Amino acid sequence: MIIFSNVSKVYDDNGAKALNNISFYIERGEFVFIVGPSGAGKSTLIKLLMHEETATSGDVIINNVNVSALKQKDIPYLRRNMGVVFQDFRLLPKKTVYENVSFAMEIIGASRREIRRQVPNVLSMVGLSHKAKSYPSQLSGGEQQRVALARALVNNPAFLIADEPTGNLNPKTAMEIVELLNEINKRGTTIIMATHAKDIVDHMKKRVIAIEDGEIARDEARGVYGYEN
Amino acid sequence: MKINSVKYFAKEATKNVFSNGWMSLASVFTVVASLLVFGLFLILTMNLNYMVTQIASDYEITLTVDENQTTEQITELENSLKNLPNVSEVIFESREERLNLLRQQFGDNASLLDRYQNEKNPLRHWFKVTCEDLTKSDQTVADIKSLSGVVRVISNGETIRKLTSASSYISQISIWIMVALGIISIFIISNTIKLAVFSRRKEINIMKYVGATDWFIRWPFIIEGIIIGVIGAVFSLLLIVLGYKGLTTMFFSLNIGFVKFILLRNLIPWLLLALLGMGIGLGAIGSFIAVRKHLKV
Ligand SMILES: Nc1ncnc2c1ncn2[C@@H]1O[C@H](COP(=O)(O)OP(=O)(O)OP(=O)(O)O)[C@@H](O)[C@H]1O
Ligand SMILES: [Mg+2]
Repeated sequence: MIIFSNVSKVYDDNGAKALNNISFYIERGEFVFIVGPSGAGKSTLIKLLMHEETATSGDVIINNVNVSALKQKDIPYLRRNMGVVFQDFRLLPKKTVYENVSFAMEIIGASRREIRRQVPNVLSMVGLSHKAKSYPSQLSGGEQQRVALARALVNNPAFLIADEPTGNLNPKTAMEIVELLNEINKRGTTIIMATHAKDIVDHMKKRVIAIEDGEIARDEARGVYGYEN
Repeated sequence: MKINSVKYFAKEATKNVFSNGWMSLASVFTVVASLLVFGLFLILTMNLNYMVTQIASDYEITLTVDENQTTEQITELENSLKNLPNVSEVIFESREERLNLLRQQFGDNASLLDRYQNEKNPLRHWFKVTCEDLTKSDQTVADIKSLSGVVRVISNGETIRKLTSASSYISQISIWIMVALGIISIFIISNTIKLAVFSRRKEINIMKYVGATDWFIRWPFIIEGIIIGVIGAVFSLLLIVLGYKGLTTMFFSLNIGFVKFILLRNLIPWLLLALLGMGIGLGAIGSFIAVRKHLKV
């Protein structure tokens, strides 16, 4: 469960007001698209969720924890509950697919046994079991994003947060990734995805929060993209 | 700390050492050089102290007694000596005893001394006085000189004082040189770790997203620094031990009596402790500085 309560964000360096007094509520298990024109504040919202940036005012509450007041040393534990996926995949080129995923378990101190059990599970879930030994450079964009998804999911997070995960993919591959996200959502993971992909949003008929100039312009349960691409 | 994490740290740290091969090598080299000098000064200071204590433990004031003194007067002198401040022990040796000692020392040639028997004995009675506090020996010598019946006072306090002050002087210089070398090593190690951090910043970034704690990200780099320090310590230890062995055997073969070196096997535990400690310390501090400055977690 995520609550944004009167959240504003002003970037210190240039005084840009990225978010202006926004409030919304996301229930556990929801699938939410964040849409809006470029520079509207979508990525800022995602960064506040991950605590990569902190709100200038207002409260961000995740699972009953007020993230705005979180101590530096508690942030990693917040993030373990949150898988993240980016437009540029952010895989490690010198690690294999398997290692890119197991890495996320190693850093939270998982045992070898847990790793050996869990990694093949998520790899098969994203349909990449046969590519476990490949390196990212040997994969297509869609496959790379699947690896990133596997890495985000391997520690069973409650939330999956994606900032334009399909931005670098062709429409067909993009749709496959979103279908995969939908699968994951059906297993109970809350999904929040910022996107510019009109066809995907319109096709999925999920909740849509539209942000314009740092304010919420629309919040519809079975919404559409609503902008011309 | 979880055992899985420890394994991970060790693996990552070792990987870092090798993937920054040339920089690591340069750092190891600097550590070896500094620890070598550190070890040399350590050995020098320890040996000087050892010699000083050796000589100091042999220290005594010798005073010869006027041959015209009666037995009563000599007993009186002995009592006054014992009552002087700073005197811990007074030993009397009569001229007969001294002649006998001399005969023993002469061994086979003792017969040379036959014509100095009895009344012809040219030696005087003497007292050997041991001090409680060496630094106050000057005063004691003066006190002894003022007693009646004393002919001559022999004291090597000056020599000991010179040795002591030389040794403390050298210790002080050593400390400053060690500090300077330590700072240089820390700087070089810190630079190596900085490069390691930069070359892995992408990975570090991802680690943060996936929820790695700050210390989890820092440890491999700190361990990398410690590995460099320990390798440097081992090499410098080897060099120093070999060098010391060569040097002491050379001195023993030259047979210079008064120079007494600490035995290598008594020295090794201290060297091991000091060099490994320094190596670990330098490595840890160097990498900690780099991590603090360049690892924004
Ligand atoms: N790190 C930053 N420092 C200063 N200003 C920033 C920073 N990040 C974003 N901004 C500003 O905040 C506003 C919102 O940016 P944000 O990245 O949230 O937009 P967005 O909706 O994600 O846009 P896009 O669709 O192009 O990704 C913009 O005006 C942007 O210039
Ligand atoms: Mg954005």
